[in-house]
Amino acid sequence: MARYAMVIDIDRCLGCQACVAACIAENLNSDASELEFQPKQPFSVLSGLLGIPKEQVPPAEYFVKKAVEESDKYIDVDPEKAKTVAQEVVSKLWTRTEVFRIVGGKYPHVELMLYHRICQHCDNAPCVTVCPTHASFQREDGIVLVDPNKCILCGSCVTACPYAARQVNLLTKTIDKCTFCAHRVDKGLLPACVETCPAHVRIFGDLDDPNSEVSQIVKRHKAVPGTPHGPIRHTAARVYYLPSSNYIVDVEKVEEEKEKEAKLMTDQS
Amino acid sequence: MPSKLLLYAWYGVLILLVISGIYYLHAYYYEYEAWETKDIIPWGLLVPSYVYFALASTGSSIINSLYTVFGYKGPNEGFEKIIKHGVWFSLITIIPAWTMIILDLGRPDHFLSMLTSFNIVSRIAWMGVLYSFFFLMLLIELVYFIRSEVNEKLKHWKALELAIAILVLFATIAVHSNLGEVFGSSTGVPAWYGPHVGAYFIASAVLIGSAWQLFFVSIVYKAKGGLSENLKEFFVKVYNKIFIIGIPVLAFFVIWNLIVAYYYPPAWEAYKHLLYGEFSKEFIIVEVIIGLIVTFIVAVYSYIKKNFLLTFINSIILIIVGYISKFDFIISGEIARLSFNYGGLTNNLNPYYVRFWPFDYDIGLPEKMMLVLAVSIWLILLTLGEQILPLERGEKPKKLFVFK
Repeated sequence: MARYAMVIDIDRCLGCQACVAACIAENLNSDASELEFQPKQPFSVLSGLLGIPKEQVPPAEYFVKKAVEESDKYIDVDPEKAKTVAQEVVSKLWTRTEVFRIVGGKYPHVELMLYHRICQHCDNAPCVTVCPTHASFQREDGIVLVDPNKCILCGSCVTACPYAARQVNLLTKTIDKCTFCAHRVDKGLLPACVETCPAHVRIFGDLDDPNSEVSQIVKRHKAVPGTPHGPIRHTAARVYYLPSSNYIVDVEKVEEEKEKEAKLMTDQS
Repeated sequence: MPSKLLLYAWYGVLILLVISGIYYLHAYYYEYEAWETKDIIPWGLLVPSYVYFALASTGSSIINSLYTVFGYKGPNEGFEKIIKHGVWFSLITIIPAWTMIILDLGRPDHFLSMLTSFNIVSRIAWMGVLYSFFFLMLLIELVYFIRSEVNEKLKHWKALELAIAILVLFATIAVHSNLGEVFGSSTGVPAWYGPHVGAYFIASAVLIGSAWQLFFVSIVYKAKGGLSENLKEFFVKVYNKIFIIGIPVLAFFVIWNLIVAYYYPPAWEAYKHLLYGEFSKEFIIVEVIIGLIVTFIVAVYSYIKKNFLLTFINSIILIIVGYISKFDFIISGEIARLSFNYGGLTNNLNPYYVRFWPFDYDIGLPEKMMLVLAVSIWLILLTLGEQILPLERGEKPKKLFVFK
């Protein structure tokens, strides 16, 4: 049985967000995704009991409308803020994976990193253990999935996950997370984000296959699971990060090196 | 009994609050604002409130066990007089805890999955089982006490009484430990993670439960015009002793929670919120100075001086402080996991910090109204029980067939 894993090579990332867009295009309201897990209308029973018409269940358009409403408040005063607010509201719709551009430090000691947040599909997944209804479960190939029809949205998996990988799907009102595009993997295809990435940042494959690219990278390079700095808890995360050599940009040090090189060149000449 | 008018007014206000709560159900479930922070603070206002009522119920049950299991009657046979009130309080106080936790579920319409797809290793799955067992055992105990007033054979069947009482105590401790471990096994919230939460909850429960019991039973007897000097003496002697022992025990756990957290920076982040952050006034002034120091001094003083009024006031303080401390413990833990920065990019990285921080926790009106709804239902049931059930010593059942 395969044991799927992903490697994220941060050094190669351009920050183009194509992976996020591919995830949305592939999964949001797509007929191709998780056909076996299409949940019923949220609160169908409760809506019936309270006599609430089904149309009142918030559809995607509701949130888009909300985004427009919220951003309109700032459009005349601060167009940039309006843009951010709109993005924030819409992003709540679909956050299975995100790429954060993290800038820290102070010039000349600048820190920069593009951090990819995604479900780690941990071998010892705490979200699967704490789930009271088996809504969160792990397949034999290690992919952790959520069955929205069983999810009671108690939030215990959110408190159990150390990687901020879970969120509420505002359309189904159940817990949602990255599925490694299980519906594509089952057909022998790559996850949408992996296939779309123009810089080959995300590499997907079978960790048990010694010849797979993923196995080779994990073995040959010092790939670390969990975060670019290693795991947070011992959950045996299966998303590996290749530690970046460039995310600490010490301008002073670079200048010093240049000066030394220049001096050496002068001395030699 | 108070005048009927006052009683009707009491019911009237509570029913109005229940109706207002039901009115806000729609907003609570459907409005965007109710959902936008669900994945940031998954356990908001209703969860600490649920924990508080669960602790009040189980804590009161532990106090009851002093009489039911260990046979301690107290001065002037006080426990024998109030035991049925105590059992009724424990039984009915679990109802608001249930109401709140069901309201907190995002998809209560999927609740059946708790039975059809039971996860044996999930602590939350066991909560349902243990609460049901706890409720059932308390119900059996109450029925036993009431029936034994009219059935001589049952009254002298002490082995049965003890067996029921032991099962109730077992259920109480099981519920507690499991509740503590629901938090203790949350690997994503460092401030909660570990075995200490269960012990901290039991210590809190004894204080919250005893304070509520003293307050509730005193009010009931006062309303019925029968708060005798004997009963006051019993309360002063027994409940102050519980406070005098219980407060230092709780202080011990608070101090050790703090010390343990100090050596683990992600957990210490929560105490930074409590010590210097937005919860500092509540933690230092309310929880530590008032909740642990002042209440301890008052308990010692009122025990020595045999002052019932001070004991009664102390119980009110403990009831309020108990709620605030549980709210702060749970919410600060959740906020800390968002705010903790593991030293920036060069050292480590906290995905929650990257994703959500900065964040302002704001409780919406619909959520507050759900709390009002659950508490109002509880108060109605509590009052109704006191009116209908024969809870006095020697009082024979008249109205309900099951007790005859």
